[in-house]
Amino acid sequence: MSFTITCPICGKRDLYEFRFGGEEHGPRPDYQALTPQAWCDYVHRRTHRAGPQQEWWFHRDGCGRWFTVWRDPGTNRETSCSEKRR
Amino acid sequence: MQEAYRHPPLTLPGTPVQEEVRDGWKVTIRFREEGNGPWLVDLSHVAKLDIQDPGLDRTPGLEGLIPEKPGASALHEGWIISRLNEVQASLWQLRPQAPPLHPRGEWVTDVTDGLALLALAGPQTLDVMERVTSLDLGRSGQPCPSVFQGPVCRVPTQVVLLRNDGSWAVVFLAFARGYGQCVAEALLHAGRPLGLGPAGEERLVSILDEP
Amino acid sequence: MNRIAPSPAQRIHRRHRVSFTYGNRLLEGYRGDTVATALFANGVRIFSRSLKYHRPRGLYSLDGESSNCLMEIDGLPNMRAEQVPLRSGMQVRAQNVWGSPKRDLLGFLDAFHWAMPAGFYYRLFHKPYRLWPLFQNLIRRAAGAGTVNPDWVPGRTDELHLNADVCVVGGGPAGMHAAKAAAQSGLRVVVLEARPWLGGFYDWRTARYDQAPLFERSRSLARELEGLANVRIHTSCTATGLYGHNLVTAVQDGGPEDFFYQRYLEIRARAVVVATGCTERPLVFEHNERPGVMQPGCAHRLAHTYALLPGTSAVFSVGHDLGLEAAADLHDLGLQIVCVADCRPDGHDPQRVAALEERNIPLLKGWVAARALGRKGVEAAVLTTTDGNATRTVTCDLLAASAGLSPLTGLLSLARLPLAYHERTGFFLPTSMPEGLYAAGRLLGYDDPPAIELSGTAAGRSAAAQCGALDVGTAQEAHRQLKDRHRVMRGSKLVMAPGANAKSFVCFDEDVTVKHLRQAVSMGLDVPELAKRFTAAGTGPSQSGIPGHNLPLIMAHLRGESAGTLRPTTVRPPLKPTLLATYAGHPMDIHKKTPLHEVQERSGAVFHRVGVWKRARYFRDDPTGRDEILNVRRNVGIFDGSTLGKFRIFGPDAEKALQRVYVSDMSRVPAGKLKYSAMCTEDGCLLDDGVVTRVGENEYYFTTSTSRAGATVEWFRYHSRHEDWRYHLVNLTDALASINLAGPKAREVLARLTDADVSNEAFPFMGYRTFRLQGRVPARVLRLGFVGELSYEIHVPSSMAATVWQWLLEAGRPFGIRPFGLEAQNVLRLEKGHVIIGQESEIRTTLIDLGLGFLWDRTKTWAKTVGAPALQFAENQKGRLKLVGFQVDGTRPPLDGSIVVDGSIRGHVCTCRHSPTLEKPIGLALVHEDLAAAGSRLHLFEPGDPPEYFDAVVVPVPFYDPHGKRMKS
Repeated sequence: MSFTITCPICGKRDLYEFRFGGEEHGPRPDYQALTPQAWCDYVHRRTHRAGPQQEWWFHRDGCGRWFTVWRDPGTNRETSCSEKRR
Repeated sequence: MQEAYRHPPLTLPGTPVQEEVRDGWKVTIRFREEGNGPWLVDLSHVAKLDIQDPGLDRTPGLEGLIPEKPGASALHEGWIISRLNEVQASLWQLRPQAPPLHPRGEWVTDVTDGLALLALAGPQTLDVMERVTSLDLGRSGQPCPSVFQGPVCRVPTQVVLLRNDGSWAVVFLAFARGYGQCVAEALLHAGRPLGLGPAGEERLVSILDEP
Repeated sequence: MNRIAPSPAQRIHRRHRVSFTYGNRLLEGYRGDTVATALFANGVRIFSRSLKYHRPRGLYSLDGESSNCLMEIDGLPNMRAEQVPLRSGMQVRAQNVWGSPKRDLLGFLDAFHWAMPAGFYYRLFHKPYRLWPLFQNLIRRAAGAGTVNPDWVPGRTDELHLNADVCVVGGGPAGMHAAKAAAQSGLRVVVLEARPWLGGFYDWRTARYDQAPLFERSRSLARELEGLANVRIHTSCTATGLYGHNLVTAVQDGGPEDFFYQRYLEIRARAVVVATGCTERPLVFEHNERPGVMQPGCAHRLAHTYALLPGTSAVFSVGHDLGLEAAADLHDLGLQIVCVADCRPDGHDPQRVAALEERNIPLLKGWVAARALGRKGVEAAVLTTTDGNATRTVTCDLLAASAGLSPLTGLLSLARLPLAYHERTGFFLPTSMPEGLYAAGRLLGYDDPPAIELSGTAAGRSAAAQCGALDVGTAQEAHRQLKDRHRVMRGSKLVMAPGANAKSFVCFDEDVTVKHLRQAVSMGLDVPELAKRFTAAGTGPSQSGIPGHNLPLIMAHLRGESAGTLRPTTVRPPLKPTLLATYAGHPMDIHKKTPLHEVQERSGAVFHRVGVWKRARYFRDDPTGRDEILNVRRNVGIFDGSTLGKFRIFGPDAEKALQRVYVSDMSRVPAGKLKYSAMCTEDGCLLDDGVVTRVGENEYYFTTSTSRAGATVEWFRYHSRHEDWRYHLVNLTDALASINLAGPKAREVLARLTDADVSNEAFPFMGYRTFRLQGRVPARVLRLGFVGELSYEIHVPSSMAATVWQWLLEAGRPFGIRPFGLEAQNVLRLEKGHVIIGQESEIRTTLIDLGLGFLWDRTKTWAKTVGAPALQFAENQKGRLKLVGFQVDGTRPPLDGSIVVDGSIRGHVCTCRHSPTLEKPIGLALVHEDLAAAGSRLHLFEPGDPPEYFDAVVVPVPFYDPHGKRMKS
């Protein structure tokens, strides 16, 4: 498998320079009155859309930035690039 | 002569014929046979600073010296100053006689001992580089100097492309100190058929002096 | 040597003779020959024996579509002799024969072909099953190709990582025009050509186009391309893979002037043009793989490129005008052409027909070869009309046969493009191309020079437009011209001659015949992917080089359906067999050395890889480290802990960041003191531990374990990615070395290197101090107790570490100082019951399972600490594994990983060693909580041959100095 990811600092680079950080699924929930189900959903449950999704990527072999891209896992192509602060 | 109590992370093969002890380091000025290049010079002893500051452009002591855009690099009085991202810059003292820079504040960390720094320069430098990395250093229109962050010999590296004249290029590689010996050996192996060999500080200074 | 008069297109250098050996014969060829052509020049006609039936095989093609010419060259088996350039002193041997290719003792197997139907080995040889090992050995020795020589040393390899705007695969006329068009737009172009020269199918042709013979036209265009600074050309370079986002991989064979034997290339391009051309579609008839049967193009090239007459008296059976051209041309070079059969009833190029007439060569339209006669070579050919009604037998020693052309769609297949049947050409081609990938030339079915070249130009311009260097209109204009002025060829549809059956080979490599395919279809395996696996067609070294597009066409015919019903099988990289040594490259074990590597080496350290590092396991001669251990308990030892993660964190929100990842309350981390804490995963499982100290108002210094150091910054940043916090991290792992000075005499040694007050009152346990050693070296000193003695972790700048190590050795000499390694440290900390993450914990082991729950502050919910909710939910969970200490009955400790058994598996041994301090075997284990109480008996199973059982009892930890008096002294 081989595709490229566009790092907001370094530009388009080979897949293997990065670590995949999963679907973007929002900030950490409030810990007050957190049920085991809600916690499990936060940690494990994802949407898994068969289409473009917003994902976190870490430029491990490069600048060390965490950022998001919109990528379609069906084609492995980025649809647009949006940056998130680390 | 003061004795050298500081040791570099790597040793280049070859016979030094002129050495100097400076700040506790034993620096090789010249090797016996340096050939016609390309050359590999160990700069692991030079001062290296890491600056992280949300107001990077206003760092006291470095006003106006840090390039604005990530990926840009500048050579200022013997210091290479690279903009790594919005809030981080690296400074390396390439010339032994460079005037000291005094950035002030908690933003500065001395990482002199944390990084191995190698210079790769001369004819066919980019031919050597394309054997150890897929970073696109030779892109036409690539401004110089500029900094790349990516794998070289599979090790995460800061690569500063100082000059690229088509046949001659000057490249600096900074990476975690522990990898120093292995990466130097890998570079020498990859570049041997192209004539890559070790050289001393004098060679680097003369290359920097060239117009 | 029997060569014909030099052709202007020849590629051999007749002034340079090259000697080589074949078996025990000393032979000669010319520079420019391949091994196969040199052997052919010396009269070799049988090059190998086939895999199953041991049928004689000869030179059939020059591009590696079959395994007919697989030979052992210079000790390397399975080399395609038709593609290996001849070099002086080469040693060539035949393979897969008992005797010689001419007289192979296994040749009798061919007579028993009826006993070896399709897939017979799935059904035979294992009833009764106990005979299988015997059959396995027999089959292994009879089958297979070549012998691996374990002493073979690979030559030097090379690798290139190229970035290009346009990568053109195929250096024929279409590819060259595509490259030229892209280069004219100023782009960086890389051209990959599998043959040793550019030119494609023009290279050996004297047919004229635009007032020049084709070979001159291609060579002049090649010179033009070679002169362009922005074009890189790699010949003898085969594209072996095409991956996502236009990553092309290729392998190049080194020539006599190259420093490498083979070179691996990876090219990342913005646009890729595939102009790989066509191969001649094999004609399937009885004995179609006899020596003496070859592609018409192969015959033509032998004459023009290598000055060899492919035979003395030839019959042609063709399906394309190129065959007619070859026949007329070879006639002029001295080959007697008995007749030319062309399976097409009409549609021939009138000029070619006229050329044959002028030479009095009979042209039989609507006729095809049905059988080759002769046992070890062609002696005659049986020709028949395509409806099978009339036949005629003709004496000949060369049968140049093909059914037309098949496109080389390998790379397109790798790009996962589904292939569909194209009615007019008879080709399987992709119906659409993805963005950034373009096809050109004969691959698409263009047949005549102007169309092929215009197709290349159009593809090159589209590629340039894709890269933004040309306006789309100009690119589209070329495509419009192509469509308006040119049509793709009408391909011949006949692949199988009438009567093709048990000796009509569909796959030469695996000896699969039409009869086998019939058997597969009748058994219900009636699609190519199933038939391929059942009959093995296409699974040989040439990866469908011969069956290729024929397989689906033949199977559709056997099913009585139309030609396009089925599809060719999937093709996988590498498209050409390549040496593993080339992919491996130079054996470079890139690892990290600590700043104390050399000094420890001088003391006799034996190093092991631990993750990316090399670490000293023990010192000279004793792998158990026994003396090292006792020396630390009694005197003092020094240990290299430089791989430890060390970090500086600063900024107004540094404390928030610490609170997020550490389970303890990190507000009020004191200055001058160390706070020990742990990081957990979201499941509450132990990830990392370390100490933190405050060194400034918004600044801390903290440590992590070796294995997590590389991922610490990533972890912090990931878990604060939705926050607006301002903090910065600097990884000082490599910048600072860490020397652990441990033992009852440690203080005395340290005191000799500094004026600072290191008494227990001034510098107590868990304290953090900074001072200079010998007035010169700045040190951060941490008083911790991992090994359970008075100990100092001394962090100094890495460049000064070796010097400090020597100072310590000298200062400690009167106290018996000795270095100790990982194994000794392992036992020392085991005696204290201290955990090593990953050893005493698994990824599912929580903080509480390890008895470290006290680190967790449950009140700081506002911090949303990673893993805290899971700890809460899990803390009262039943049935978890708990970490316990145990003592073994007896003297021998069981191996790490031994299983705790009690009717079922109840846990495992994490670490177990003989403790020199306590003179008994002790260990730590993760056991089910029912067995975790002190006094519980454990039964341990140590796997092995034979396995062994041990008995142990759970005891409290620490085993040694339970109140920690020694490390706090």
